[in-house]
Amino acid sequence: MAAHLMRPRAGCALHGALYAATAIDGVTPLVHATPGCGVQAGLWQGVGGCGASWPTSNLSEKHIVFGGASRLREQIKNTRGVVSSEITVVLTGCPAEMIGDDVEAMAQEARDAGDEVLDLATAGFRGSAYHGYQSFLQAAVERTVAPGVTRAGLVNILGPVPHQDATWLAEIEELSRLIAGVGLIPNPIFGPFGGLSSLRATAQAELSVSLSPWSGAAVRALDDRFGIPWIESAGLPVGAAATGALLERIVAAAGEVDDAAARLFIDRERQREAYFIDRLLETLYRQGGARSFAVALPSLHAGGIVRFLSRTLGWSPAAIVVTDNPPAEHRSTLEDELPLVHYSEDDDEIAALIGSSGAEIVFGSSLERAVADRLAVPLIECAAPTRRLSLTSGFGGSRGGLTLLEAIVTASDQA
Amino acid sequence: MEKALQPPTRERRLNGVSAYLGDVASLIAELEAGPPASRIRTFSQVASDDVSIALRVLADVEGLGIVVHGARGCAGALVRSRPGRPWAVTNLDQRDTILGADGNLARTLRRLYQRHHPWGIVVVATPVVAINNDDIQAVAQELSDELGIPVVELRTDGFRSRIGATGYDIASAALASLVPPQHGRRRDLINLLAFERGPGLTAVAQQLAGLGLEVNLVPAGAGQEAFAKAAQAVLSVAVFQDESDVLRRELDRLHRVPFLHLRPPIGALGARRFVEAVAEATERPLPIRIDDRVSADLLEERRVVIALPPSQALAVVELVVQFGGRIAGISVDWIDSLHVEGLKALTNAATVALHVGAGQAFELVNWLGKIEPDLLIGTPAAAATAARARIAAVAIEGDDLLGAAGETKLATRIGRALAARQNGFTAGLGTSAYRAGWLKRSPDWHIKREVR
Repeated sequence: MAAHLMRPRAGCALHGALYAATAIDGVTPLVHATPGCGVQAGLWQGVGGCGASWPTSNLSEKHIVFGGASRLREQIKNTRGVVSSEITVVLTGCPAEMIGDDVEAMAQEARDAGDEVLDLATAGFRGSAYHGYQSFLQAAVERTVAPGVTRAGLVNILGPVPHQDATWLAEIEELSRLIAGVGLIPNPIFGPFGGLSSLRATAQAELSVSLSPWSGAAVRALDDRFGIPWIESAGLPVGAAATGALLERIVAAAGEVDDAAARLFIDRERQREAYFIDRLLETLYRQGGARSFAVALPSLHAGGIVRFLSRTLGWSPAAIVVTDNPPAEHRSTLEDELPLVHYSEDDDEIAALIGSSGAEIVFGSSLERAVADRLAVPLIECAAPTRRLSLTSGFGGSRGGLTLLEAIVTASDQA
Repeated sequence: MEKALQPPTRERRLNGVSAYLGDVASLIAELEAGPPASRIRTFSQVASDDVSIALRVLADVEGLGIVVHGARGCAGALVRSRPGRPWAVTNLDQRDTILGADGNLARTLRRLYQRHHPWGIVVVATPVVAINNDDIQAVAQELSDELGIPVVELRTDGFRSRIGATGYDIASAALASLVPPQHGRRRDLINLLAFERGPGLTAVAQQLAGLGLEVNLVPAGAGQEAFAKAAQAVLSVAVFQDESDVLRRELDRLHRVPFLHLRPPIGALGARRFVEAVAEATERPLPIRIDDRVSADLLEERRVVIALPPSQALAVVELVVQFGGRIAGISVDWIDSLHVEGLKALTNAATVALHVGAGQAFELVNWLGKIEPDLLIGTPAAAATAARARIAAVAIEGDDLLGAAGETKLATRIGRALAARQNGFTAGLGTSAYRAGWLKRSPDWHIKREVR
């Protein structure tokens, strides 16, 4: 039996799969559910701009009673006629799975007719949007990717959950820049420089980098099927030191890389950060110097931000709450060298943990506004739901550390 | 407290239509001849359903607790609600969908109450519980007795109606049951029914207050006190009657509060008509007449498509004509018998193209391509669709349109949109997701009549 949640911050499995499919150019998601299931996915996003014109079977009462398979059949066929795409991915919502529609048979029928159609069980009762991303990614790798000749230097980037992680696109772009910087070829899959060709090229990569627990299943599948080694990061690196450390691991695991050029790039990233931090030092001390802080963030950002604040700035964590309920087997990696970590998706529980921490600054979502106001401390919004629009500025990588600093100094100045 | 009646779907109650492409006159004839043909789509895109619209209505009621009984994703419409809004989701998993989750619902209700002490709680049903048939009513009754506050069931299901506006009706029935009976009638109190609040609504309320009336806004922004007053009002009026139809009927049925039918207070003339009608009904002196209409020949015979909710669209027609434009077409999500008089009032009903699109962007983009208007006035989603089709667009929402300020706002935005077109703006170009083959077909090729 699932536990109820007060003001959760992520939608359901259908939503996560829908966001992921939407973020791959050439893939069209088709929602097999009632009309509102897709609308609710869009509503969870707010300013995220994930689009809301997804094809759907729009099951009505007649289909709930008599079955919706034939409705799905015509929807698959007509989707190919109306929308430009190479692959249609049928994603099931709760009603379709509860009434037992044979979705697999409908998809197979379309495949037999020569269309590329993937079907995936993503009912909302299967878990959160993070679970949906995980299922989609694993299925995409296992069912749409064929073996190919290895491309030297190609690195798969997986982990930020499209549209659910607030800065997913900026994080992927920054990691792509960094990987290119050390002389390798980034393979981002999601976003404007990803796409279906990028998804298919995952089998040709030399290495996969998993930046959050939610990409663990996919990188393991790539390893099992195509023998592609992978690196698991303890979340997204934030700041030049953590970024440099991850890049060094990537360079060491990849094949032929010009080590000297890679080292030069990593050093320049560190110098750049040091330059900016040096100019901010006086301001940081004027604003109170080392502070205690609380974070309520999903696993993509929680560890990286805590480590940046602790190790680079010397601040003290008062409460660390990871808000996306990551799989148990990945938790020890996330917790690497961190003090006590709490896991909770429940807003009341998170507010209680943050509220009793005595933190002098809070890093979280817009849901932490109330508790930050109660504590009379600044709030830096780094996670969904948020009113902060992040098209290009994330918190990961060496540039992300500086973005975080900008936000801290600005918010502290206004406080 | 008397129980609210569960309203039937808009299709059954008001002969609602959610798919149509043709001229206005033909649809009027069809609606007047009896229940219209049921049309269904063989291709469709996601659209608002009764659950999401009901949640949006509830999210704007102050201090009311909301429990979404379903999988976690069904609570999306509440995510952007105000900080501190007490809401929870029962977060059903696969086991719950098979065995039911009455116990989980009861625990959620208790915890929400203990933590936030709302003055009432509404339990919103979702497709999952509509299929597995959890007995929400029994749990709501038990917890209502235990907690000492009203706990009300709201029986949305997401699949019985193809018209999302059914969500207004179901939410209204639940909210009406939260209005406690009152003795006596206050002749200086009126209910202003609205589901969206903003500066426009505030301005209309101030104009009514200028008549010496106390204006009780419900349900948008209303708290326990406003609900408590609602049964004492001398009458109710609504900014948009089609949204408020069940709420006004329930206030009349349960508390004998009559309803005054009025066209929306859109634009200076619309607002004046609205206030004058209320003054007459409440036997108050008419306010001083101020002529604050925009008298520009702004549109210079340009062909305009309006793509707004039905009552707003029909009211904006008047402003477009006032601005010197011609109506090339109207696109709405649904039409029902509440709109027949408004449709009849269109001067060229036989030639105005009508698209009933249920939020289907692919139909709208094809249809716009066929009629090639000079301008679209619509919701933000419709405006974005028009921009992608290289059509000048104005985005405006219900509250923006209210009162004289709404008229000025619309005129300003029209001026800017036409200037943007002249400047050759490029936003949205080259991003169409639709195949060229589809754009060459008739916009209604996929609509068929349902076999009964």
